[in-house]
Amino acid sequence: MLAASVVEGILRRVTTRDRATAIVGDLVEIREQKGAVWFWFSAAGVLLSLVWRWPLAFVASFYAGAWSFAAFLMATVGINAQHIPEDHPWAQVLWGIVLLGSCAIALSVYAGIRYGLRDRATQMVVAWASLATAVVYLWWVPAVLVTCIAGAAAVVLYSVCAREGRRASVVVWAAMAVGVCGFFVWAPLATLYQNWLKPGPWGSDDMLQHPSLGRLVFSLMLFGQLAKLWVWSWLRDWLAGTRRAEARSEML
Amino acid sequence: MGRIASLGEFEQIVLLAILRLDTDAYGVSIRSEITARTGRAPSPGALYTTLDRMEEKGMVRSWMGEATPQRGGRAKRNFAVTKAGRSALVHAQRAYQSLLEGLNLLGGAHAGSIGG
Repeated sequence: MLAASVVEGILRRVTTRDRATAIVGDLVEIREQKGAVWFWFSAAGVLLSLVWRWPLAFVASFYAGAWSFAAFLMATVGINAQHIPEDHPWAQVLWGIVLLGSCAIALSVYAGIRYGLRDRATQMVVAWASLATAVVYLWWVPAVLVTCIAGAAAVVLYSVCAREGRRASVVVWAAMAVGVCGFFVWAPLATLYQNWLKPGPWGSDDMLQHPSLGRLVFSLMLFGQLAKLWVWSWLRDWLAGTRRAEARSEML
Repeated sequence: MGRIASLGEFEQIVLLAILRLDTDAYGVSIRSEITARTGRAPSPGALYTTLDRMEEKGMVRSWMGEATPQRGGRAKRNFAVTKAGRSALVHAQRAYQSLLEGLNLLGGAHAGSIGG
């Protein structure tokens, strides 16, 4: 009985209380025929099947977000960029798209792994990420720009008119808002710390002399990532719960 | 009415097992029914994640049932197929039937050649 209580306690950390109780009850019922070894292997299997997506989605999303942000910056202001001067009237808009686009890519990877591509919110964020990527890399091609604007209008229309679209857009934009706000918190904090360590421009030697800056930036980015993904999962699960309740009341 | 969701093979098996069990569908009985009818014993992890996913998609609904001593006093989680689940199952089975038409897989002239 102690083994069952231990397994139940662990499963409660990764699923609801009722589900954990029912799963352990089922395993206990079958243990009479199959034995203790089967019980432990099955408990480990259930735990793995319930949790494997989260750590994979978290790590992949973190790297996708960081990589796409760096790639987008290189495409817009890097040395190989077909870049626009800083005083171009649309420069700020493009840099906004860089930030939102990398955030959307991080969320696409997370939602795709965790919830699958059939999920409406996943589909919506993938659409936004694709549009942002196309604009960042090909903003100077009029046909691409017009197609992306039309695509964005179609996604907005779906977000407003369809019930599922409204639910999905709440999830997408709440998580995007947290991601962007997070950036505006951690970036100035890191800059303040960098200036406190050594004012003025930094070279690679400075980075080697002050490894704490890298650690701070990494930690702040990780925290921002956690907040963004938590908002996504919480809102999505909450909205899925209200949809289930609606379906139940319709059946009754 | 919305678009009918597509179902994977294991999802169809689980839905059929729940329908067969009627009011007695819970984790252990669903697993036993699948094993008895298909000869494949699904792992508990695969079964629970499939049930959770289908509940999220509105294909099944669940509610907590009674606790029994052989379960260590823990309640069962009972399952039933919803209208949406039944529609999706019928749709998937019709597609299978349509593909099977004229093949005569279960016997007849083509059975030998298909079976090799």
